[in-house]
Parts: sequence; C-alpha cells; structure tokens
Amino acid sequence: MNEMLEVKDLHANVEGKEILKGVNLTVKAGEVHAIMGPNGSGKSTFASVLAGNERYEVTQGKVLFEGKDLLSMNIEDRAREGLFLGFQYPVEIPGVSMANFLKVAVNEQRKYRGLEPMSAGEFLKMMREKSKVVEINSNLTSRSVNEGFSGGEKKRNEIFQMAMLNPKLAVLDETDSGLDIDALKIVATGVAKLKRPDNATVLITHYQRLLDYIVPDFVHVLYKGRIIHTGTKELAKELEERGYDWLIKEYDNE
Amino acid sequence: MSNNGNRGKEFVADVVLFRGTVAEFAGKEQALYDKYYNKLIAVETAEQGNDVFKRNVVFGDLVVPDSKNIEVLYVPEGVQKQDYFPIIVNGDCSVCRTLIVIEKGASARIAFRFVPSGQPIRRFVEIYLAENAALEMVEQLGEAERLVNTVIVKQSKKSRFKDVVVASGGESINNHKIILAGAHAEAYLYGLSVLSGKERVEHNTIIEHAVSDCESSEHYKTVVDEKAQASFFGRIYVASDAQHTNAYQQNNNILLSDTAKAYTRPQLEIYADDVKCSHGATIGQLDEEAVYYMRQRGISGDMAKKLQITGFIGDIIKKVGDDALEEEIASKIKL
Repeated sequence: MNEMLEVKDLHANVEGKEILKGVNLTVKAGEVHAIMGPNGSGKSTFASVLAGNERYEVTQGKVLFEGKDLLSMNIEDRAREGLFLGFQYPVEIPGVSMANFLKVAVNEQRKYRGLEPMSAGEFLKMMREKSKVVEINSNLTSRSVNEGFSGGEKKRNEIFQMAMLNPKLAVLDETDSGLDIDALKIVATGVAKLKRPDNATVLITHYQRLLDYIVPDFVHVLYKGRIIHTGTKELAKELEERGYDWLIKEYDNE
Repeated sequence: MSNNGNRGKEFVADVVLFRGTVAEFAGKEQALYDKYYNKLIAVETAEQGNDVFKRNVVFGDLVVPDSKNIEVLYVPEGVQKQDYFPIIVNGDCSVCRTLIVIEKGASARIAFRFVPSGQPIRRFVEIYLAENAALEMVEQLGEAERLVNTVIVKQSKKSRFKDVVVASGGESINNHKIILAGAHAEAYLYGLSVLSGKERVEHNTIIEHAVSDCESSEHYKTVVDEKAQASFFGRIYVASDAQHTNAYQQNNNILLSDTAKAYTRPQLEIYADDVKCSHGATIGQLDEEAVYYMRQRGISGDMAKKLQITGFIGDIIKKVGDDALEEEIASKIKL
C-alpha cells in the first residue's frame, strides 16, 4: 500500500455553513501535491479538517491515512500517527519555551510509537542539527513559542518544528504568505530538504512562487469546496499568468 | 534555636533571636520590646482584646487577641545573610506573633513554610527595615486553611523589601501593608494562588508612599479551577509630599471552569502630582488556539493546558531567586 492519504467525498461545515462539498484526493508516499485556488474556496478549511480542528464538522466522506480512519482520531493522535500541519497564522504561547514545548512533543510522539524518550543530550543535539534546515538561531530555543517573532520567523519556526517531528505527511497551509523573497527562499529550501521517498507534502498555496523551489507532482485547483481541476506544475505557471477566471468560468458553465 | 538574648556568634548563623512568651521577651530584650512590639499592628485596630475589633477598610475584620508567644527574628547592623533561612509556621500557636528587625545595612532572606494542623491560625508579622536594610521573604502558604495572615512592614530610607506569597490551595486571607517611610525605599510584592475545589484565597494589600522617591511594584497571579475563588484588593496610597513616586500594580487571573471566580479591585489614592502610577488587571481563560497548536504537535490536551499554566505562573516563582526553593514551590503546586 503506497497510498498515504485517501480523501473520499469529504464534506465539512463550519458554524453551520458548508465549506467542503465533496473533496477527493489521493497522495502517495514520495509525492508533493499543491492545492491552489481563489480566496474562500476552502483551502484552509481542508487543512484544518485534516488536522482535526474541533470547530469544523465533517458531515460526509472518509479520510484514510496509511489505511487508518483519520476522522475517528483526535487531534493529538493524528499528529502522533505522523500528520503535521504548518499553520498559516502560528499562535504565540507566552511562558512556554520552544525547547520545552518541542521536547514534550517529540517524546509524546515517541511514546505513542513505543520508543523511549530522548535524553536531554540527544535532544539538544537534534535541535542544533535541525535548526540548520531553516537557518534558525539556536538561541531561539530558550524563547517562548513564537512570542515576538516576525511573520517570516514564525513560518521558519513551523518548518523547524517539521524538521524536528519528521512527519509522514506535512500539510503546509499558505506557508509562503507574508514572506519576502529571502525568507521565502529559506523556508522553501527547508521544505525541499525534508522531502524523502517515504514522506509526502501537501502545499496549500495562493501564489506559484513557492513551487519554483518545491516542484509539485500534482497541482489541484480547489474552488467552492471541490477540486475542479488537476494538472502538473505547468498548470501553476498558467494560473500565475492567466489567473483563475478562465478555469472557474469553464467550471461554472458545466 | 536560641532562647536567650545573647548577641554573639550564634546570630551570624541563625536569625532567630528569641522564641517564647511576650512577657519573657519584654524581660530579656526590653529595648527591642519597647521600641518595636505591637506598634504597627496597634495602628490597624481600634482596641485590642478578644471582643473588640475595628473593621479595617482594606483588611476587614482584624481581631487581635493577646498572643502569648512571639518569635523575634533579628539581624544586627551590617550582617549579610545570603541563603534563605527556613522557618516553619505550624498550628502550635493559634495566634502567631512574629517581629522581624533588620538593622542598618544588614540583609536577610527568610522562607516561611506553613504546615497545616487543622487549627485556625491568626498570624501577625511586624517588620522593620532600617536604613539600607534588605529583606527577601517567601511565604509558602501551601494549603493552609482558616488562616488570617497579616504582615506589616515599615521601611526606612534606601531599604529594600521583597515578598513572594504562594498558595497552592486552602483558605486564607492575606493582608500585607507596606509603609515606605524613608526616601529611596523599594518594595516588591508578588503573589501566586493556584486553586481548585472550593478553595478561597484572598489578598489585600496596602502600599503607602509616605515620602518621595520610593518605588513599589506588585504582581499577583491566580489560576482558579472548579468552584474556587481568588481575590485581590490592592490599594496604593501616595501622600501629597511623595513626589517622584513609582508605583506599579498588576493582577492577572485565569479561570479554568465556568464556576471559578476571581475578584480584582485596584484602588489608587494619589495626592502628589509628580508621580508614575499604573495598575492593570486581567481575567481570562486559557488560550484555546494555543492548546490546539500544541495538540497538533502530538501533545495531549491535558499536557497542553499544564504547559500553558506553568508558563503563566513561571515568572512569579522565578522572583524567589533561589533554584532549590523555586523547585520546591513548583512541586507543591497542583496542576
């Protein structure tokens, strides 16, 4: 079985309003999928529903993660199974240090998999190693999670956490939004470095530029809660040049 | 533990000057007795005695019956005590009197730990800091029940007082009054209450800037769960001559349940015009977004809440300034 993620006819509501209206998607290990689409199409909702955000209600459909029923798992179990969400707006957690937060996360995930917790020494070593992936300063680790971080620093911190937690499937929600050219390069290069044949990435993005660094195998267009079109990396370039109208018009006329 | 009035080598090692009855104290240390005993408490009450009391506007009912026993802690001029000296407050005395005198240029650190005994305790502590004296205090209330804890401090010029009061449960009323009576004196009051069940902890504070150029700062935090209640009533009084006063006050409360309660009432009475005074209070809940974020990293909901609460209370515990004592305090807090 190399289907890592199978999303079948997924419908979801938030505050009584239906946002996802039958999403279908299959992601195999080793693949990079990009999900694009105009604002309001449900991209962030899709990411939140996969993560298990309790504000969203799934009304129909099935999601299998490595053959297991994802929707029946709680948020932390989905994470422990190997699902990582790169948040669009990472929250600040004053008083909780990055080091302490990550140590607890890493060890809870190891415990779930029947592994011994990491020793303090091993953990520090891993932190130093992984901070190089996104060129993050090691003094960041004593600071509170995301507190006082700029937008770019928060996004880099998301990828740093991804490097530390080594997920099977990373869903990155607009990881490139709000970044300048240099920050984008660091973040994107970091994500590209973490790509392996046994993991997979779903990039939710509004702009094409991230895909210059992380070349997608598939580009999907999400519109009004459904994937209306799937193409290759060329589709992303076409959308960048022509916008979404031509595609949406075709769909609206169907 | 010394019970005599000998001011020899012993007091370099041990700050306890005297423990015994008030009458014995008056006999053995008449000068100290005449100068200091009961002067500060007397001001707060109309008349003493078992049946008569005056309702103190901030402190409430302050019944001060005759206390038979007294503990006198004394640090002679110029003596610097670096380590926290531990003192147990237990239910042996239902009325506990303590007198603390830190002489000119001397300093001490005292850590009081309350051990519950089922008895109600009324505790009265009078503290005098001479010129350039310094006292750092920690009051580990633990889960002390039926406790009325009153501490009154009179500070001379350039003296420095810090007190960290930590309640990990129980039922207590804590009254703290600081009189800044000499220029350039500084007072810092820190409080932490972590309560659940039907626990109730009240903090009433009065900081009196009687003269100019003094600085005071208060920071009290509470975490209240289930049906517990926390309250903070903090009064800052700045006399008309107390120019260049800096007075800060902050009270932050987190409610973990729908039935938890926090009451907060800052009161600033300022008569001087060249001063800096600020106060702030917040009452809120745990940040649900932060809990979600942590859960998405594989941390259980319970652990995420614990991390957040530990993060919230951490800076108050750090004010103690001693690793071992901070660890002990943190270990007693039930999260």
